[in-house]
Amino acid sequence: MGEAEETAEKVGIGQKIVFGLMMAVAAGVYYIVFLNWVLMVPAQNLPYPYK
Amino acid sequence: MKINHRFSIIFPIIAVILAIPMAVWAGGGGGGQFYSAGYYALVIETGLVIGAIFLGWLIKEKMGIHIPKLIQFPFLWAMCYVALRVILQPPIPFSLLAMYMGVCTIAILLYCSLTVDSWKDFSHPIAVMLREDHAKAKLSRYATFLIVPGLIAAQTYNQMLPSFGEPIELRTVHPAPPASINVHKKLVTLQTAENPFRIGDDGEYLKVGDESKYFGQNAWVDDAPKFLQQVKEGGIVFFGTAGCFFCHGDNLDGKGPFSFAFNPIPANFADPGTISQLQETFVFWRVAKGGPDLSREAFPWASAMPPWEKHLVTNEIWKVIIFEYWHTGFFPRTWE
Amino acid sequence: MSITRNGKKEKIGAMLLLSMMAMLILLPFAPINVSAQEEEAAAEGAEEATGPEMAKDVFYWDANGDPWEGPVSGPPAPELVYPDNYGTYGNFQSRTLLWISNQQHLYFGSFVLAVPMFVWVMELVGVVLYRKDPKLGKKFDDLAHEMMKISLTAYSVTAILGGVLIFTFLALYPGFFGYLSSIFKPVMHIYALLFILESGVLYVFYYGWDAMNDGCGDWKYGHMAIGTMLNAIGIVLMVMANTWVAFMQSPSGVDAQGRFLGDIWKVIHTPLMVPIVIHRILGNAAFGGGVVAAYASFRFLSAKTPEEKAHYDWMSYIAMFMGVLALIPLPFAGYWLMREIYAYRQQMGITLMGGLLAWVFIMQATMIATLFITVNYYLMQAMGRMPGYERYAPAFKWILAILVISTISWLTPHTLVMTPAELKAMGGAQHPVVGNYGVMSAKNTAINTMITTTVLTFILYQRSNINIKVPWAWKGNLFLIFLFVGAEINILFLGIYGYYIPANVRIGLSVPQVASTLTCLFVGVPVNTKMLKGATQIAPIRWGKMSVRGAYALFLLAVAFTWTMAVMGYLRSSVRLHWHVNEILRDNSPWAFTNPLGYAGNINSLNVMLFWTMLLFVFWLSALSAKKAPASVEEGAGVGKAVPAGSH
Repeated sequence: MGEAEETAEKVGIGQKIVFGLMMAVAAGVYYIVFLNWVLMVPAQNLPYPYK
Repeated sequence: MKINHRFSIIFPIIAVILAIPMAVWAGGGGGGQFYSAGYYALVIETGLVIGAIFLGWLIKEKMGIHIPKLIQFPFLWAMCYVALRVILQPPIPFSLLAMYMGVCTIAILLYCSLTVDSWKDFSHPIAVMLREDHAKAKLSRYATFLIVPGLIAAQTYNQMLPSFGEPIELRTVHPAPPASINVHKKLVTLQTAENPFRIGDDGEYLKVGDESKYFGQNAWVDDAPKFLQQVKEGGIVFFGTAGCFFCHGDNLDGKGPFSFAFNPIPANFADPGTISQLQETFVFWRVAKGGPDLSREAFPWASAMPPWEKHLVTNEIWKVIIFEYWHTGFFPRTWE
Repeated sequence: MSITRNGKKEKIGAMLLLSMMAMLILLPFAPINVSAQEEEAAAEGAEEATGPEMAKDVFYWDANGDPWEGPVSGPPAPELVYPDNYGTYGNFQSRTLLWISNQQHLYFGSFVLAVPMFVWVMELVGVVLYRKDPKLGKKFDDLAHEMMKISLTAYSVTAILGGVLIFTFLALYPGFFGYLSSIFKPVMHIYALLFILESGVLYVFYYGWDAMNDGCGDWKYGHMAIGTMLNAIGIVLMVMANTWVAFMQSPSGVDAQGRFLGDIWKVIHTPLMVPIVIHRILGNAAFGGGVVAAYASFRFLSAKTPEEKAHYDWMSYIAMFMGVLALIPLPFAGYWLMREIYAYRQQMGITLMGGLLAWVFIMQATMIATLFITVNYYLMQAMGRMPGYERYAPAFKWILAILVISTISWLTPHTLVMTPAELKAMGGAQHPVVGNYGVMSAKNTAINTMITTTVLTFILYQRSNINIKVPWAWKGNLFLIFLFVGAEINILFLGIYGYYIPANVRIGLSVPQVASTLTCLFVGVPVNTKMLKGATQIAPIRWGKMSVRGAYALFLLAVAFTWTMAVMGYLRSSVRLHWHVNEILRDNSPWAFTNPLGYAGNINSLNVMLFWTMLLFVFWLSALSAKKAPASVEEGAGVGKAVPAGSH
């Protein structure tokens, strides 16, 4: 790991947890709200292109 | 190899997280049989896999014992075989077992050759066995060249033994239906026909999926909603007029008192692979026309289902279909 | 960049040449207007005399929802009679002969059309790189040139096989061929002319390569424009060949008796035409990449010097990469095609997916799983040439485990093969546990998981010999973890949720599932690439140091591509059952039955072997001429008119 480890060393665990939580919320919002809701709901009324 | 620790810990955790929904998934399946035999089998199996991973981790990382890939190979293979053959109940057919074991065999071989090191680990003992000239290598060489042909001979012998089982047949369980059928002198176009008894409280056609609000309610009370009244009449057909339960079972699971006399056994509606995969009109076709009207591709037309149009009126057929879906909690397939 | 020899004259010359070529492209379309006008005039004439007979289209509707009506402009579909309208060769099955010649032509045709696509991209990459690093740019340019050379040899084989195919049609299925050519008469000459044009452009493109090669100057762009034309013509050619197939499967533009209704566009634009064409273009590209990768592996394995080994290691990687890029959208295109088939004829869909031909889908599923596992395996082997990959090596086995679990779920058939005794022991046609894996929800989940995993492997590959230097590396890593874990949880959740809802809603679930997968691809890979900016290499990639297993994996990949094509082509064709043209022209030959699976599998394997035998011949030919190539390249660099002295 060498130098990459060194840069990672400077970041505190608290900072990592906070950012991780932010990312978790972001992932939740993106996947659940955006993909599952916004995309799925209209998908059910997709008309077939030939009808 | 110190840096490996991170992966060794993270991935079993992910495996556990992934295993939980999979266990629920295999047990539930929408069929309402959450506590089926399969559920326990899968939980045990998942537990065993995780246990084996944990054991491997303990041996490798904590006890510091290195097991060569060549020894891991038969061990992993046997584990897969036991899991698929013994733990997984009811037993899966041989064709499926062969396919699964084929996948597992290839996967284990790939696992043994993933990196240069692991390939060396795997192939080095074989090379020693084939090449070296000391006593140990010679002994294993003689043993190998006796055991491998012996296994092949045993396999050949087993294959040549006459067997008295019925031959395997490829049966199309759900053949493509005809475009339209004639029931009681009325033409029913299967792609567009609708169940006339699929009606909601307002008397309008009930969209597929909306009937879920009636699932689990008592259909036999006097003030039941309209839909449930149809369900009840369908139930009367199922248990009374037609007596479907003699073959298809009280729980619609294909285990009626007569079922063991049939070959193949009657359809199990509680299974997610039968009526939940089919349109209501497909089921209508099967009930009305039975085995005699199976299409050409449904070779060898192995179905003892009578053509119920000769015994029931059209409405009774539609009602019993409503009842079957309601009882099993499945929705018919739709295309729109 | 000082290109002294590129004077004004040459520029004008290049422009003139280009415009001439462009006009040539338009040429085939000119006659269609003339003939259409003639037809119109003829139709008008007929109208005055008797009034045209109008007939209802089998597929198209007008604005009111009634069947569209058109003037009858052709003869009805003939009632074919066996000995009269069909030919035979000895005791061979005519259908099998046609099948083989069709498949061989298709293989070579799609290879020849796919390679120029790659060559075009490679040439573009070469030109772009040339500005910064002429040496690297030249490397890509040479790669493109070498790819083109393989294609050129294959091109003549394609033409020969096309001739064989036509003769087979005429000799064995004259009645069918006559009817179809009467329907497609208005566009058949375009096909022929385009083929001639394709040949011309191809030869100019290939033989003009060195002459027009000035790094990234005007001549080079001119050359690339020719490449663009080559691809445009190729795609139009392929689309035209596909229209026959699409018409056979889902005819439109004719009435119920099969009479042409005067609008050729309605014949071309059948209900299934667009998804078939999209699916085939993508399939072509994936297949072409696989075959070029196999060629490079062949050369890699037979290479004698380390330089040669390094070159072909690199080439096989590039070709594999391009092939996989086309492979990833392929399942989605296939899903769309299937959906359209269900919308067109439900029976057809059921025959394919759950009925008579469901087992062929299991064969295909095996192949798809093989493809994805092979790609992952290749990437893992390829990491062997990247010092530093040891950091990621422990993850391999878990990636493999996820792939295998997905494969098992993906392969589980809906209809099991079993003896009656096994059926009784199981208590029903469906198994209570594995039966759950036989349905669409499980399949979608499995394939999306496999693609996501492949993306993950690729990300590991990208960073395997790299020390990441960007200060936000830890943020990026966390982001990637949540991106992938979130996607996988979402895919699994939607897959499980699919069991609890009706099928019509379930179909909608595939959209967010696919979107999750594509998010990983289109967000994960760019973020990872961004993280690699300014990073230091632990050591440069040791090209040529890949294990031989990686090269064999690429062979397997290419063969799996070929086999999949054979199987799926067979499937698509045999779903018409006893129809030549679905519901219009009935197959009255003795070969109108559906083949047993074993026979179909054998013929497909025979086709694959035949193709690879011929292809090995092509490879050998290319390698033969390549032996002299180093000398000629150096010569060319010296005397070639477009490479200026001292431009490096």
